[in-house]
Amino acid sequence: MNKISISLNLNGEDRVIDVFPNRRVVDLLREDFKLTSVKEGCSEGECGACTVIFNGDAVTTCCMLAGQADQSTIITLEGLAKNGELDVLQQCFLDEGAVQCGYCTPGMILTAKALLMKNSSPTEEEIKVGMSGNLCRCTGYEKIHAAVKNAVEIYKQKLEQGGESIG
Amino acid sequence: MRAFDFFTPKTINEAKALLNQYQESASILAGGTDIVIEMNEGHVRPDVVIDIKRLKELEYIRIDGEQIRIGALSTFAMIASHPVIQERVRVLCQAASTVGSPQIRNLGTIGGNLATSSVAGDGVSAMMTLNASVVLDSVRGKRTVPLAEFLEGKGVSNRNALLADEIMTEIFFDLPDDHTATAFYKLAKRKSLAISVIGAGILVQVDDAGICTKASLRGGCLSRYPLHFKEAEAHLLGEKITRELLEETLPMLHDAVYESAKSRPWSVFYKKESVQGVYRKLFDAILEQLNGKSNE
Amino acid sequence: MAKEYSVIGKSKVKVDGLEKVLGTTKFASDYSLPDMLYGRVFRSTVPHATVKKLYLEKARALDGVEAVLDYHDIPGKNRFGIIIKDEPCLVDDKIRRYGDALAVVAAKSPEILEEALALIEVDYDEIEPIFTFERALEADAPIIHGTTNIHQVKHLECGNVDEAFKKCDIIIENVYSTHRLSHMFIEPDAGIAYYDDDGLMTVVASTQNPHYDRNEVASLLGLPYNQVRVIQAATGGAFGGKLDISVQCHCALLTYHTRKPVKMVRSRSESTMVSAKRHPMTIEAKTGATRDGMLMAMEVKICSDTGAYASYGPAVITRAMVHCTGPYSIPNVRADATFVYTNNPMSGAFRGFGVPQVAVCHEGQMNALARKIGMDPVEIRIRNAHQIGSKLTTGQILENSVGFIETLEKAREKAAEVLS
Ligand SMILES: Cc1cc2nc3c(=O)[nH]c(=O)nc-3n(C[C@H](O)[C@H](O)[C@H](O)COP(=O)(O)OP(=O)(O)OC[C@H]3O[C@@H](n4cnc5c(N)ncnc54)[C@H](O)[C@@H]3O)c2cc1C
Ligand code: FES
Ligand code: FES
Repeated sequence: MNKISISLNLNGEDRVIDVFPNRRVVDLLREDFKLTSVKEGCSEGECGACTVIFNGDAVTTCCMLAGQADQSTIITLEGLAKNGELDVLQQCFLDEGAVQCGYCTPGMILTAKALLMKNSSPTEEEIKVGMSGNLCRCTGYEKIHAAVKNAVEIYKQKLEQGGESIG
Repeated sequence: MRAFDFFTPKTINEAKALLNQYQESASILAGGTDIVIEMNEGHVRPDVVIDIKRLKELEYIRIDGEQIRIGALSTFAMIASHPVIQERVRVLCQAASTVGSPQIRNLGTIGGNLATSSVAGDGVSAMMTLNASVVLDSVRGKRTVPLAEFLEGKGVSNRNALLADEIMTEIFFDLPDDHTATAFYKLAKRKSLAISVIGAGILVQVDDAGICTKASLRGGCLSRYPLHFKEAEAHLLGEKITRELLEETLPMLHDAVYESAKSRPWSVFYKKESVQGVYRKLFDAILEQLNGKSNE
Repeated sequence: MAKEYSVIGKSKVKVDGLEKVLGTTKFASDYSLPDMLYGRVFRSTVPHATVKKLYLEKARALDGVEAVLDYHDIPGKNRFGIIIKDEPCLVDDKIRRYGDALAVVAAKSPEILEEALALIEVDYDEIEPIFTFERALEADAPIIHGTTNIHQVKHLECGNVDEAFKKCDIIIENVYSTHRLSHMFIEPDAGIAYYDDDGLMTVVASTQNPHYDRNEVASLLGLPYNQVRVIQAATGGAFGGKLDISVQCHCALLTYHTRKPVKMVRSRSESTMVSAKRHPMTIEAKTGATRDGMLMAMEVKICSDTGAYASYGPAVITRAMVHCTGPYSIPNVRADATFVYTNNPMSGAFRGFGVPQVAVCHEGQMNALARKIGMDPVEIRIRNAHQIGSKLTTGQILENSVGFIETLEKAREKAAEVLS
């Protein structure tokens, strides 16, 4: 087995790494890049805990081979807070009590982020569909849904005040 | 995961050459949502993996005269959000939007869905309803195969006609005209991340007088490949489409499911009942579309 | 005016919320130490058997494998269990369920580990597996533990049940059955064992029960308690399912022999296969009442399958019995419960310890009774509800804080509001 070289933009930084190809993107991120916010819950695409933002889309990294990350842009939860300041979604999850055990949280926040990057004012139904690939066993989803809704409002206000955009 | 060598061809020709070289020992990787899980669990153990996802030349949705041509690497997310598909090919749009979850739809490709040829493949049911054909390419040349024939063929995996050196490049079908209504309904245990219990499609074309000139009814998860409701189709053809006429086919759907399922465990027997509920919903959708069209 | 409290009645940010939204919280599988090995269990693929031979040599000979252990390598006691010590760390006498642990392996990488596990083989002498409550009790059924398949039998009685039934205007009899259920905590069980700087055997695990885990690890390794330390990592959901030992003992045993840190992370399928489940129950219930809806008597028979090991079975059987009337005062009650061992997955603690199962029964009975009498289902509940001063079947008097009637009334108001 030959190693492959993977170049990617990871949380805003260009990175290059040589790895054996028989690992998945979730392993690459957790083991090789030590980005342990990426969680593994089911290993078969069902729970969403391993979600990251890959070229602007939410994807489950347990369904991807490491080689698929080459030439990509990936954002993990580690890349969301900027200069010690929480992303609006992170703040809303915290304020709304949308976090219990916290194991689903990284995937939840990143899925929401990817959703809002594409559609800055989703309807309730669009939020529900957008978040439907992430399971939470603790919260019962109500608060997660509320957190995303609040974030949409706050982003909107920020935009109106000429502030930063979501992406 | 077992060791393998990984190739990222830059062109289709390069991919075909690799497949020709490695034959059965190679596996194609598209979105990965089927094969990576199988590899991780040790069920699939290729020596060589060929990642074709970067072949942007196979990622397109083109309207080509009377036909729609979809590159095999188009994802379900692309398909579900394509304006022409949303408007004119609801059966495919709806099937694509019920696959897995947003994450799975961002990765999973239509080519991978057809190549997996699962009993529960929602893309398979929709494409069968549309009477689609697939294009298979290899160093030996291209061939076009109707999807029905593709699914019955014996290739490397005996699930379909794909040969070891072949790559699916395109799926195409007749673009439903504005006298045609289509719809898809997925019956499953949950709204999201649920495998189909029944994934059924319908296509009905009428003439100016409302007489049915084309009918296609296919139900996924009711037999190895989407069940073909031939009797129901024949019943509709040449008749004026009304709710009564459509509902007259319900016993035929029931009987067809019974025939197909009777040799299988009792658990599939309820499907002969549920198929009728599923098609009632599809009939509603068809009637709404046809009425909408005639009112335009 | 309601009293102002500093916390109660206020929305407070979770103390560990910040790290969780930042993704910096460390769960057990997030720990890594220098020189760390990866561990995994080789498990049985039959539910009931003795092991004729276990072939470990090939795995031991593989480059990068640092330990392949079976029960011979356990220095202390090879039995754990929260209440009854009936579960082996590694099978010695026989296999009692699909997925019983036969050997543990530690290797330098997950890939080598996978290869090593594939090299282990086993010959079984299979025994008829028992999958139903009924079969477990038959005279010719093979015995799973000790001398009988009966795990526990309990009886609870108050008042004069037979006499009371004679005076009832209405009697409702039904059988309820509830199914086995998996917790599906989102984080599969995981842990890491190592010797700390003071030479203390340390296990960091996803657990609900670190103090109990400490005792079990010490007993397994034959160490005094003060030589073992268990630290609870942030735990990704549990719901009762992480009260039993999961990876703690296996990890510690591998560290004991290799002297190196060993991490074990269960796959979802392994976790689901061997973690405890909710006890499935069959509940026969007979409830008697007067025409005006006053409960007079209840007779309940509870049958359940605790699976291959006791786990929290003894707690569940008691709770199920004690709560069989639900929040209703019934003066004459007889409850009998029988739990058996089978070769099914073990049943244990799961949110409510058997109480949710019997709730299916007592609420079903109340609805049936209300229907039969033609009484409003809320009214019949209020009429029989426990309140301050009520006496339970166990003889306990409720002395304070019984909010059931108030809750029912509020719920009724709310429902009317929503439905109007
Ligand atoms: C959580 C989850 C939920 C899912 N839900 C659904 C669902 O609701 N409905 C449904 O239908 N499916 C579902 N799937 C299955 C899967 O997502 C689809 O079948 C998907 O379309 C597969 O496409 P892919 O690109 O990911 O294929 P891959 O996994 O990359 O490949 C699948 C197979 O097809 C072959 N292959 C791929 N592309 C080609 C090609 N162009 N030419 C030749 N061979 C090719 C590969 O070699 C492999 O054998 C689900 C999967 C997961 C993990
Ligand atoms: S671990 Fe990837 S979706 Fe569950
Ligand atoms: S907070 Fe525990 S799974 Fe969502």
